[in-house]
Amino acid sequence: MALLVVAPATAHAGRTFYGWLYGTEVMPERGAEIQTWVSDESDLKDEGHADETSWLVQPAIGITDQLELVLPVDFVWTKVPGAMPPARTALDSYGAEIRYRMVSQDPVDAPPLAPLVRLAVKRLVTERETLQPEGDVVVSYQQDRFHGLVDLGFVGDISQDTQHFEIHPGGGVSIETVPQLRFGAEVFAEIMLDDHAGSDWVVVGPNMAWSHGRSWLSASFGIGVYNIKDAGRLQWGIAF
Amino acid sequence: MGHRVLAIVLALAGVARAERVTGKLTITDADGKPVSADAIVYVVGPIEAADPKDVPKITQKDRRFVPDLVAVTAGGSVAFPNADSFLHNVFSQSPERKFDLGSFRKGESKDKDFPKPGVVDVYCNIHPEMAATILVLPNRLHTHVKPDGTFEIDRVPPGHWTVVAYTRRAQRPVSAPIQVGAGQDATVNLALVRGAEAEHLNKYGEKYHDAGNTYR
Repeated sequence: MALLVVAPATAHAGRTFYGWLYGTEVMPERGAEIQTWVSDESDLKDEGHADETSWLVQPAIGITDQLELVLPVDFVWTKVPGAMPPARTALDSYGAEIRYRMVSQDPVDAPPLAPLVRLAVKRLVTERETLQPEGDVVVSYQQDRFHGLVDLGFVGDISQDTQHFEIHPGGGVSIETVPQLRFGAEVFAEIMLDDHAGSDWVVVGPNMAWSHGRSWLSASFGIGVYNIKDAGRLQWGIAF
Repeated sequence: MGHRVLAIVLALAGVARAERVTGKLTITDADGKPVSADAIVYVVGPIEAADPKDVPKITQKDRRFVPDLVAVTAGGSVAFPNADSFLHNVFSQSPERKFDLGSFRKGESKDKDFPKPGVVDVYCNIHPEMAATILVLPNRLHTHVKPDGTFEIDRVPPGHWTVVAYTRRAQRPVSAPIQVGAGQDATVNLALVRGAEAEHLNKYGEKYHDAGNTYR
């Protein structure tokens, strides 16, 4: 499976150089940005569904120069084999998250290694009693035009009756080829920690990122190497 | 131990021998008419560390940076207090020191360090008419020019140096070589020509949406 990532160059609001991976940048204090992504998962070997397209919209607000508040809303189209109707579109979830960058963002003061912690809680709209806690520990390394990043994510579905947990590990590299334009590669996986293990999937592929003024975008086209045909994600954002 | 004593003695001797550079700066517009403007004169050559207690302020007041020209020794910091009742967003896109302080309100202040010498232009991302310049210098041998155009820079060590005068909106800084001898003051007179404020872009590299003829 291949993964394509498009990402921005210099720094603003949670922007990332990767498609499936969170970045380590946050908005400056009182800054605001609208971020969004479209994800496509095709021919997933999952009992629950085969294809899924997700559109997530999330305003981000800089609380301090290192702490960001994000309010994500997720719309999902899913095709379920054998179901009637076979496909559905729904407002899937909404919630709140914080992203805390643990070091300065100042280009002079920032060390090459930058960790970020992300914590989120979402309500699943179609499963009224289920809460979805999420978390990520992200560490990036920047040296001149080279950027590397490791993202260890966690997602849970918790209700009174059931609990389901996944980890979302990933990593990638991104190199600035010309100012504001970057190319690289990344790997991303979703691994179930319970009896849904058959739904695990892994993709690897190229990514790219571009920023222009207050706008940025990043994209990744992941080629499936396990349990999925392909999975791509396009992210973009605009700061105010 | 002996080297330390020797170093201290030499340092004290150097301070004792340091002399003064004086002079007068004339600022005119493009037509040659004298104009009043803040200006800084500094000496290039000696290298000194910044004094951590010396943190100049650039206050945001009445949609202006006050003062709009400060000097700081490399390694030092500048404070940016907001005295207006509304938000400002101080930033710089100068290659010597890019930064973005975010938006902050009345009573709040943020500091920024300036590790390398250079000229740093500072703006507000909300109010295009706000502009200031920070001269990051390699030593503490700098001073603001007095209203009558005269200046004095104390404790200049003996040697062959360059004196530079800078004001915002000048077409270019002016400089002159000086020879400071032991026990002798040096005098130099300089002249600057001041032009118009150059248009600048916001922190995203775009024109301000409501920018008219608001540049000072």
